[in-house]
Amino acid sequence: MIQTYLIHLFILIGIYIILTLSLNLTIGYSGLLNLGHVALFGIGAYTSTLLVMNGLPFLLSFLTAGILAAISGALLYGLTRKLKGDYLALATLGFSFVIYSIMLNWIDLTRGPLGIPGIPKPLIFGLTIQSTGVYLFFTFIITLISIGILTLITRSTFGRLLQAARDDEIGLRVLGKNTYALRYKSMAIAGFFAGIAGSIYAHYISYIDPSSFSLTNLIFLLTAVIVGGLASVRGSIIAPFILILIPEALRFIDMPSSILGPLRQIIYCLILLVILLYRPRGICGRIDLQ
Amino acid sequence: MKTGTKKEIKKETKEKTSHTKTNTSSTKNTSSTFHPIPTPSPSPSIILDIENISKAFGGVHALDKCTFSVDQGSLTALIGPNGSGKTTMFNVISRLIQEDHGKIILQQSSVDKLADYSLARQGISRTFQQVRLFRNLTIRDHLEIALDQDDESLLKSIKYELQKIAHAILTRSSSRNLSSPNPSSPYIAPNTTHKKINKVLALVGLQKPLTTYVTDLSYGQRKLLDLAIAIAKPHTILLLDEPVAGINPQLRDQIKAILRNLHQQGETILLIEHDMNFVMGLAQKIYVMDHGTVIAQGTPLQIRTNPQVLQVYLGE
Ligand SMILES: Nc1ncnc2c1ncn2[C@@H]1O[C@H](COP(=O)(O)OP(=O)(O)O)[C@@H](O)[C@H]1O
Ligand SMILES: [Mg+2]
Repeated sequence: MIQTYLIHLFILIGIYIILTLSLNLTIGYSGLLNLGHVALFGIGAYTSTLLVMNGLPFLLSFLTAGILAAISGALLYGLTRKLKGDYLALATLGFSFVIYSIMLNWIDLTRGPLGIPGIPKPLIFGLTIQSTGVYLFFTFIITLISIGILTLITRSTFGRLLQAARDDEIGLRVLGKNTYALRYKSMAIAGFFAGIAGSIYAHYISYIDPSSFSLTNLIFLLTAVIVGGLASVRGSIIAPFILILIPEALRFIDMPSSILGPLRQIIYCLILLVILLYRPRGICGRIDLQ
Repeated sequence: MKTGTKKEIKKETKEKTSHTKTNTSSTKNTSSTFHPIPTPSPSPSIILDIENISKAFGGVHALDKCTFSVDQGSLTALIGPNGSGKTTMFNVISRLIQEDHGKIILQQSSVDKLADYSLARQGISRTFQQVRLFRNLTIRDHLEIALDQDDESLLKSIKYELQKIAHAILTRSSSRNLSSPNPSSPYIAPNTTHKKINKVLALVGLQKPLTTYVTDLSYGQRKLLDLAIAIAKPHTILLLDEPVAGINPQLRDQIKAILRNLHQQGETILLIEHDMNFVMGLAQKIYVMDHGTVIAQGTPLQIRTNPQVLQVYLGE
């Protein structure tokens, strides 16, 4: 029993590591205050779900979820690239609301607020992943690959250019670098990983509805990025552990669930507050944004 | 190409150059496509030609039919009181600002269709009056970014990163002791890049470890790094916006010597300076701007004794 429960938590942690790390690529490394990430996560979840339920093989759906979310990420950047700071944040938040509203209202496709139940477990190379233990293994592998790729990207000369563009866009452009192209790629990469995280999530939980991709989830992701530290791969790996495991400890205290929910939110806020007060750059953060 | 028909600017030649009318070098007009000029031609030719540039911000005419040109291999100064439009001129040249009227020709090609970063690739290297550096990067990062014109490719840079890891694994025992000096930047420059970095730092006289973050540099050191970056970036012309603004007299002399040195090495430099005295023993040709237009031009000697120029400077 406790074992299944731990497996459940670690699958969620894996998914949130991919989400936090890819969000950090845009916010921390690229300096784009991107609040559209949760929508890209949702696009991935719905894409994969709908494709698999219409008979496409899992792996193909999984990749398509990533690619479609990548395209959406690039598109989002294309629409907002002239905006800076708060305006960019507002516009990308608007994108999250638009996608949320599409999930809610395009009932023929998404069943709206009813959500989509009975999402099949992944069928990979003729084997269905039935047990949660195997699913954890699958999640673990994908998380590891994602961490590997994103670490490589952030450490490469490409990643360094993203950081330079974050620190001074004009300063980089006069050195002959096309900062728009750099950021398109950054948003597309982040979108891809959000998309595959959505696919892993949907096929694990086996039920999705628009509320999984709402503001609450976005705030959770932002908290994770900040707590871990902007532009820190290590921070974005550690933060989901902290933010998922600490509130879970509450479960073992005898308490009505009507209190448990709000209490969890309070704990996120407390963690965020403590970090901002005592470690404003996050647990592993190093960079300084003016 | 209007180079040949352009209103003739009376050319004041310096010591070694012969008295040729340099901006009527009609042979250069045969092709409008961009061809980088690797070696300076024997007789000076115009590398940058500014024709009648106007730019207004609301009601402020920052540039008003401004015309001048820069010869290949020359050190040209653009001086004038504060607010006379010098920086705006640089911003227009480097395409950060779109002019209202006029034409800019860089090496026989019009630049008006180019984006700022493409223009930079065509060979313009510039600094800003306010130093612009990347606050979370090191000296080495800055110079590598400036030197490497091929680092934007995602796949290439990942491939390179993998090669480095493979290399590190193969030479594991030796690299363990030499653990990366700078955790933020595991990038190890190829040897040639490293040599170039050392060379340009020696040229500007910046003696700081390569792993120093720019936020740990003094104002003067930042100015030097800024200059080093502009020099390191591949270019055919250097545009420097007040490289000695706000700098102590000793460093000022140091920078003056650097500029002289660069000029002797054959660099083409266009220098903005507010202080007339600084450019006196330095520039071959001076353009004086006031209210967005060139009001005088000539050798330092001619400028120093020009009554119109004196009036502008005294009236400030
Ligand atoms: N982006 C801008 N918006 C509005 N006015 C500007 C802008 N840039 C420059 N100006 C105005 O144009 C004039 C020329 O400024 P500038 O080119 O900075 O002069 P200089 O570099 O010679 O001191 C000034 O009056 C300045 O206020
Ligand atoms: Mg100025």
